[in-house]
Amino acid sequence: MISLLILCSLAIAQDDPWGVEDTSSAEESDSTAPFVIEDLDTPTKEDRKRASSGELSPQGHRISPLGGSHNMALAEDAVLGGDGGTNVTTLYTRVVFDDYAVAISLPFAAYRTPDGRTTDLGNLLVEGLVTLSSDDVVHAVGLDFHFNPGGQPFTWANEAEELWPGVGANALYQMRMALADDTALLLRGSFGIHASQGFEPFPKVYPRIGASAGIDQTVAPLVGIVGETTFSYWDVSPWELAGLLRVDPVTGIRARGGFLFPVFTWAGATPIDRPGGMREVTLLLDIQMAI
Amino acid sequence: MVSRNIIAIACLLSACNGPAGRQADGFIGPMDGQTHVAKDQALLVSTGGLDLPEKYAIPQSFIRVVNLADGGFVAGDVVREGDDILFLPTKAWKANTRYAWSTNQIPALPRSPEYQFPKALIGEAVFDTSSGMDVLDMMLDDTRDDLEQPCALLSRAIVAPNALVVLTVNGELLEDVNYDIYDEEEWGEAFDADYAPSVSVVCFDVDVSAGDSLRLWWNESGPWVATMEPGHIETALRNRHRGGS
Repeated sequence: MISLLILCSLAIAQDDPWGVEDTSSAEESDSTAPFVIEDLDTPTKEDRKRASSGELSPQGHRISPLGGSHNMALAEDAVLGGDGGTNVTTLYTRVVFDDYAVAISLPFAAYRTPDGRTTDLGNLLVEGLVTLSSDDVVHAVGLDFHFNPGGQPFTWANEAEELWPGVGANALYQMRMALADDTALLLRGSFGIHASQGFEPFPKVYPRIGASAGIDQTVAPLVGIVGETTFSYWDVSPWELAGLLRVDPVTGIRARGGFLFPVFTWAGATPIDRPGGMREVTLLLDIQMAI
Repeated sequence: MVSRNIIAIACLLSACNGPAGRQADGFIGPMDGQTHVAKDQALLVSTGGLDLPEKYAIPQSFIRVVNLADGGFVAGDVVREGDDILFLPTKAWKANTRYAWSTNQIPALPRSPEYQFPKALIGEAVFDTSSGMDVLDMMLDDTRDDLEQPCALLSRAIVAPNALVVLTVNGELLEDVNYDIYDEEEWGEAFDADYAPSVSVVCFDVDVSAGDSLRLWWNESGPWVATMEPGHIETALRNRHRGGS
């Protein structure tokens, strides 16, 4: 649809957009004849590439974008409240080659220890996704793996593999489906195996299965909201809800802000030896730039 | 087989160096009731395998020390040395003073490694800087020569074996009592080389049965009175050190 619109706009801007020089044939046609819609229904890769240039695809907190353009992001997750104190600043970059996308993120943690606050590098995460189709329903499969580049941040925000030193890999599936012109359903599933340094409460080796579902709803031309829920096991926060407001002040720039609510942590249903209670909420902020 | 290989590779990649499981053979030193403690001796909690990241600090509240003469807390630092946790007093222990110290279960910081100390190590103990001697436990022990003989665990090391020993059994005075003195290492378990010989065990070569009442004087100290029951000095020693089984 987007490529169609772009081609149409290009056609309007040119004197002879379709290269039709035979005036006799033009006279025989009606006013819509030059628009051979059937031929334009299936956009080429070039069309898609041109159409997605500068475009930021919908994404959740844990659900990655599909399609779109290369982009960079800076994200800040700040766990607020009595059980908070961990801040995660993440540098993220993603490159897209046709149907392939590779994203790298590197988190940097500031957290509490008995010796006071300290900082350290978290786990480097590399994610590769292959888009299998790009109609209204976009499917993608891929892999991710993480390892620690040398930091020792024995802490976490809400995800087990983000900071706590370890190594592991997941197989991924993602889907994006347009529910309406301004609404997209986002899904992500993953399973994998991970190893950590085994200090309580982390196991030395553990499997992990995760599922996320999200909705991206455009509420104004430049504004949208994103809601997401994630269940994962084994994880320090097995079930959580996230809500984000996104604003695109200019094309190719997106700012998002919202909160993550660790529901199972509040309920005390975690592998961590702490009683239940609403003692924390995570502030989510990020700014993305298409390149 | 494939999954086992994956796990093995994952472990290799992550440099799995965490302990496979906590050892249950931690201990404290000086042991509960020990006397003649050196002025500069640190208090030791040897965990036998600390399930914490290397260099991860231990909160100061893990060890508290009270001067029993004035009831005041003793200032000092709790430091970690590998699997050992030490209390280093800011000033040397006062002479001829009795102290109580406690090791406490401490909650982990939010979003941090959890402290998993052996339960046996958590509790209170006393020590004394005076040179006085005390009998901490007395029992019929058959560890030596398969003979049941009355043995006493003393609160300090005995360096001069030619002591004036007076012993009565059921009120009857025994003359020319022979005895042997051992240090704790000779009872099969050395709790730490830095603290040995810190206490002594004395076993008497006398014919005593279970249920007999013993009364002991050691030089000018005593009397200590005990009803003989079968037991093991090694167990008593371990309990005083809060060592695991």
